[in-house]
Amino acid sequence: MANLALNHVSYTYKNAEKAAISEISQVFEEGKVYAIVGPSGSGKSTLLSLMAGLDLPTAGEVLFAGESLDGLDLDRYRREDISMIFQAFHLFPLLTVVENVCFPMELCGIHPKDAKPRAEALLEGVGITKEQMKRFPAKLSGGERQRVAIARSLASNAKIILADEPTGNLDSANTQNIIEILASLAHEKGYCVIIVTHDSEVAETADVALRMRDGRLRYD
Amino acid sequence: MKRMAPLELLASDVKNARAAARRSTEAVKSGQVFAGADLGKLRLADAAGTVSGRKYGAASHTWFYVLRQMWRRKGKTVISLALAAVLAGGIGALALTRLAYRNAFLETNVNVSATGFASSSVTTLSKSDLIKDAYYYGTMEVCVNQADTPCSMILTNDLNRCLTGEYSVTYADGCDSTALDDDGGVCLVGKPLAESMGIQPGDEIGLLTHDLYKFITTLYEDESEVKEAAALASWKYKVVGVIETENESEGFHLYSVANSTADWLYGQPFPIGYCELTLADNGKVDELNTILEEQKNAGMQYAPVASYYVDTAGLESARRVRDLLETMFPVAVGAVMLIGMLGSGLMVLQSAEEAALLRILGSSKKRVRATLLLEQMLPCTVGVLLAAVLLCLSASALFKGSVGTVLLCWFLYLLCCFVGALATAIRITGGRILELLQSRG
Repeated sequence: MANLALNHVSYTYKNAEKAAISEISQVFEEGKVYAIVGPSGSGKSTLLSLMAGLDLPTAGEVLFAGESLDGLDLDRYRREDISMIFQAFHLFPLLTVVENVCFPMELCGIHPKDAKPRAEALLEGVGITKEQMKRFPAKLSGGERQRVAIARSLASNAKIILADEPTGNLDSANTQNIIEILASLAHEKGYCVIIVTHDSEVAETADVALRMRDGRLRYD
Repeated sequence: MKRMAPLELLASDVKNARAAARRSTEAVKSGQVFAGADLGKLRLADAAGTVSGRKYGAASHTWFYVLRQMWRRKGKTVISLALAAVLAGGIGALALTRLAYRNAFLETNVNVSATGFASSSVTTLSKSDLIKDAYYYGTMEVCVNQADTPCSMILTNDLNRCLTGEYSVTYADGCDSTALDDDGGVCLVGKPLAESMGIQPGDEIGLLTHDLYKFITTLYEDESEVKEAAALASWKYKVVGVIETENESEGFHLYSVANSTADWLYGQPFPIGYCELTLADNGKVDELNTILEEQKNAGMQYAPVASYYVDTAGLESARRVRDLLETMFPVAVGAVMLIGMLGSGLMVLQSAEEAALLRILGSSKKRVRATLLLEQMLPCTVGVLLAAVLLCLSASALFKGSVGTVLLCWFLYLLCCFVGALATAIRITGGRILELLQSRG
C-alpha cells in the first residue's frame, strides 16, 4: 500500500522565529479523500510542499510506503509516486491538451508515440473530446482545464494526488464535477486524494476532514 | 453542465498496466531486461518500456521540448535571436571599423616637402629610420672636360621619378645600377652629350662648376692657360654608364647623387632644390619635426632660406576617429556583455513558472536548468552566427584582419549570456517552487 505518513513533522523557515508547521503526525491511506482546511497563512502550502517532496522537514520525517523521503530520489518520487493538481491548473500553455498529458510519461522515459494513446484514453476518461485534445489549454474552459490537469495527474500512475485548491477558480457546477471525479478516483480506483482547501463545502465531501491552524493539524 | 462519464477507460488503463507489469516480470525472470527492476513497485517506465521497446532519453526529451517551445513561442525566440544578432553584429562592425581606422592611420602617408636643405642633411634624412621613402632633386651647372658650354648635372636618388619618360643605361664593364651609390665621383652621361663629347662608359671626365670656370677665365687671357687651369681645378668623375632617355633634352645632362664628392665639387654642401620624404611610423610625427628642424639648421648657410612642410591633414582626421574608436570599443564591448547577461537573465526569468512546473512534475534541477539554458542560448548562438555570416559577406577583408578580436568579443558575449541565464536558472530552480506557482497562479 503506497500511503503517505507524516511523523512529527515540523518546518521552520530560515530566519523565522515561529515554526510554520509544528509536530504534525498523520497517515494518509489509499482509497480515501482527505480535506485539509485552513485559513491563509495556516501552513497548508508548506505542508503540501513537504508532502510533495519539494522541501524536507526541519524535524520529523515524511514517509512514503514506509520510506523516509530523506532517503529517496525526490525527483523520481514526484515523477512516479505523487501528482499534483492546482487551483490555477498550471498546464503548459504551449503544449496541446494531449501533449500536456503525455508530458509526465515522457519524463519517465516513455516515447511520445507510446504515451499518446494512453494520454488520449485518460482524457476521454475525464470527458475531453478528440477535438479538444488538439487544442491549447487557453482554448478550454476552467472546468475542462482542471479535468485535463486531473488526466495529467493520472498519467504517471501515481497513487497519491495532492490537490491544492482544485476548485478555487471554478463555478459550483464544475466544482461539483471535479470533486466527484476525485472522489471516484479514491473510492473506485484506490487513489489517495488529499485536497487542500479553504472551502468548507468541499471539505464536507471528504472522507476525512482535517483542520490546519497555526501550523498544527487536527481532525475537524 | 454535463455529468462525467464513468471512468471506464481508467479501469482498462489500469488493467493494461497490470498486463504490462506481468510481461515485465516475465521478462525480468527470463533475464531479458530490467535486471534489478523493483518488482514490488513496478514503475510506469518499466511497463511502457516492454510495450514498445522504444526508449526516450532525457536528452532527446529536453531537445525536442526546447525546439517545440521555441517554435511555438516564435515571438520570444525571434526577439532573442534578433537581439543577439544586433548586439553581435554591432560589436563586430565596431571592431571592423576600429581596425579600418587603425589601418587608415598607419597607411596614411605623412609626406614632407623640403627645399633648400644641404645635401648632407638630405642624405641624413633619407637614411633615417624615421623615413621609409625619400626622393631629392637638385641641379648643378658644370663644365665637362673644360668645355665652354656648361651642362646640367642632376643630383637625384631616383631616375624614374626624375625623368619624364622611359630610359635605358649602358653600364661600363663591372658597373651596374649600384655604382651610383658610391660616395666618390660617379655619374651617368646622357647619350647625346656623350656622343657629342666622345665619352664612353668607363671613361673619366673632369667636372668643374660653371661659376668657377667663369672665374678662371677672368684670371687668364690665354685660352690654353684657362684650359690648363680648369683641368687642374676639375674633379675627376667616372662615367659608370651612358643613359639614353626618351626625352631627348634630358639626354644632354649628367646624372649623379648628392654625396661628399658633389659637395667638394660645389665647394660647400650643395643645396638640394627639392626633397620629398615619407614618414615610416605615423606615430612619430613629433620626432620627425624635431629632426627636420635639426637638419635645417645643420646647413647654417642655407637655414634662412630652407623650408619644409609636413602634411598631416589626412593623418589627423584618421587619428581623431581612431582615438575615439579606441575609447569607445571597450565601453561598447562592456555594454554589450552587460546587456547580454541581463537580457538573458530576464528572458529566463520569464520562464520561472514553467521551471516550477517542470520541477513539480519530477524534472531534476539539472534537467530544468539545461532546458532553460538551451531555450535561451540556442537563439543567442544562432543570432551570433547570423551576424557572423552578414559581416563576412559585407566586409570579408576587414573581417579576416580582425577575426581574432571579433571572435573574442562574440565569445565573451555568449559567455555573459550563458552566465546570466545560468545564474537566473539556478535562482529560480532553487527557490520555493510551490509558492512561485501559487503567486503566479
